[in-house]
Amino acid sequence: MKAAGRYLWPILFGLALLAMWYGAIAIFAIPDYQLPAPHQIIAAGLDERDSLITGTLQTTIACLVGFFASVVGGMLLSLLLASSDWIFRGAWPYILILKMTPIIVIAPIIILWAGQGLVSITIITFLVCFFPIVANTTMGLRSTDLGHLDLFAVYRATRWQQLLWLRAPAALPFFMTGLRIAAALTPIGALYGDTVAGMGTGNDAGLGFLVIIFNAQFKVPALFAAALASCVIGFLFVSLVNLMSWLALRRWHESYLQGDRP
Amino acid sequence: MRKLTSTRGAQGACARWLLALLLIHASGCGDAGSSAENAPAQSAAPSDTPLVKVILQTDWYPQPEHGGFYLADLAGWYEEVGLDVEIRPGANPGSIPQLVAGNQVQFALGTSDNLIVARGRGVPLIGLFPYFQHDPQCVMFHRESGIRTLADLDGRRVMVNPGATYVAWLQQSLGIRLQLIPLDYSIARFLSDPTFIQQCFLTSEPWYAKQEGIEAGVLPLSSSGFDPYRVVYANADWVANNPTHARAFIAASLRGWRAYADGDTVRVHAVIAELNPGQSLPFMAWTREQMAQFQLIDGNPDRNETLGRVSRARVQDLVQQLITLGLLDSELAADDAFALDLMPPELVAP
Repeated sequence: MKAAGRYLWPILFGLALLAMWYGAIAIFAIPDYQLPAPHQIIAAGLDERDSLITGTLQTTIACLVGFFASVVGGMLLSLLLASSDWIFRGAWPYILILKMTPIIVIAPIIILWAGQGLVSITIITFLVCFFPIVANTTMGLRSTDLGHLDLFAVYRATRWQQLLWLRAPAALPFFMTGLRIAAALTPIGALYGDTVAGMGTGNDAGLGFLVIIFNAQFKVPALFAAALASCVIGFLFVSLVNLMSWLALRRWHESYLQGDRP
Repeated sequence: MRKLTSTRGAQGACARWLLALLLIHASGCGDAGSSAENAPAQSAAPSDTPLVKVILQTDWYPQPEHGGFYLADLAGWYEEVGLDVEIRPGANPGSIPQLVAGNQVQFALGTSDNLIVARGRGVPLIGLFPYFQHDPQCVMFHRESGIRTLADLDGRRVMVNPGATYVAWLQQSLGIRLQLIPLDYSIARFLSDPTFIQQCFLTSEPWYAKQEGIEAGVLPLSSSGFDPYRVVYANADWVANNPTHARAFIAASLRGWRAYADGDTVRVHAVIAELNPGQSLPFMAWTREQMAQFQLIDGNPDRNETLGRVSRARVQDLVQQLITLGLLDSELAADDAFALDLMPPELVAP
C-alpha cells in the first residue's frame, strides 16, 4: 500500500499535468510552433533520434569529464585552502574574482587557448561546476566543531590525523551540497559550451549545437525533445550525487538518520 | 532615429523641425524632386489622420544594409503614407521570427528560405518584398588557403551558423563535409589564424579584415545554386487585416531603397553613424560599393532582376530545394509565401 501510494501519486499528478497541457492547447488554440503537444514532441524525438542520441552521448561525455574533474579539482583546492589560514586568506579573494566572472566572458578565452571542440566544452563545464564545490567544501573544512578540535588537540593528534578523521568527515555534508549544486549546473555548462565551442558536421554534434540548428530551422517539437534529453542528463547527474551522498552519509549523518524515523 | 526625436518631448519637436530644414537643404545633392514634394506632406499628415505605429525589426545594428529603410524614415516617406515606423535594431536573429509571429513587431528582415520553412511549419509569417535580390552571406578565407570554389571547403573547419540552410545545401548538393564551428559574429579568430574560414556578409567583415591588412577572399553563398532573396516579412494576420498599410509600407520602403541605390546616401549614412558608432563614413561607402558590385539591391538585369522583384519561378526553385533538404514537407506556392497582391504588379515576375 505504502509503495503503491509512493508511485501512484506522482503518476496521477503527471497525468493531470498532461491533461492540462492538452487542455491549454485546445482551449487557447496554441499553435504547435509555440507549444507542441507531447505526442508531437515524442514523434519529433523519434524522427531526430540519430542526432539526438549522438548529441546526448557527446554532451554526456563532456558532462562526465567536466564534472569529475571539478570534483577532484575542487576537493584538492579545498584541502589546500583549509590546510593553512595564510593560504586561505591570500587565495580566497582571487578565487572569488574568478568565480564572479561570468562564464560567457571566459568562454571565448578558453576557446582561444584550448581550441574548438570537446576540450574547451569540458573546461567550460568544469569551471561551471568547480566553484560551488570549492566554496561549499572549504566552508565545511573550516567550520569543524571547536569542541571536537579541542578533543583532538588534547589527544595530541597530528594535523593529518585531524584532517583525515575530523575535518574531512565533518565537511562531507557540505561537500555533498556542493556536488548537488554542481550536478544540476553540469548540463548548463556543457550545453552552453556546445553552443560556443562545439564542432560537428551538423548531425553529429552535441545537444547545444542541435538546439541552435533546431531553433534556426523552426523545428520546435524537436527543440522540446532536445530539452527533454538534456533534462535526462541532469537527472542522471543528480541521481549519481544522491547515490554518492547516500553511500557516504547514511550511517551517521542526521539528514539520513532523521529521515528513517517512523 | 525616431527614438532619438520622440523621447525628448519639446526638444524632440524642435529637433524634428531642424531635421526637416536640414533635409530640405540636403536634398540639393540628393533626390531633389521627391524631397521637395514631401515637405508639405510631412506637416500636413499629423493633423489629418493619426499615423499608424508599426515596428520594423532589423537583423542587426544600424548599418548601410538597412539604408533604404532608414532613408525612407528620415525623408518622411513613411509618414507621407500614414505610417509611423520605428526601426528597431536587433542582434539576436534567432528569435526574431517568433517576435513577428506574436505580432510584437509587424515587420522584420530575413531570408526567403527561412521565411518559407517557417511558413511550411504553420508560423503565421508572410513575405512582403525582397530588398536584396541576393543574400550577402558569403564565406571568407585567407588567400593562401588555396580555396577557389565552394567545393574546396570539403573537410575544412568553417565557422557558420550551424542552422543556416546553406550548410545543409552545400553538404548535400556538393557532397562535401564541413567541420562546423558555431558563429560568434567576430573576426578575431580569422585575423589570428590563416587557416580560419568563416561565414560573413560580403558587405561587412572583409572591410574589417582589410583594416588589419588582410585581403580576404570571399565566395558568395548564393553562387552555390541556392539563391534566396533577402526579404521583409510580416505578421500574416496583421497584413490580412491591414492590406493598405502593408502596401504603403512596401511602396515607401522601395522608394527608400531606390533613392539609396541611386546615391541619396549622405544624410542616411550620417544618421546610421550617429546610431551606431561602429559605422564610419568610409566603411559605409565601401559597403555600398560592395552592394553594387555584387548586385544585391538591383540584381542582375540580364536575368530580369530588379529592386523589389519577386520571381515566382525563383521561389518555386527554392521551395523544391527546401523539400529536397527535408526542411519543407510539401509544396508551397509563391502566392502563399509572399503577399504578391500587395506588390506593385510590375515587380511580380512569372
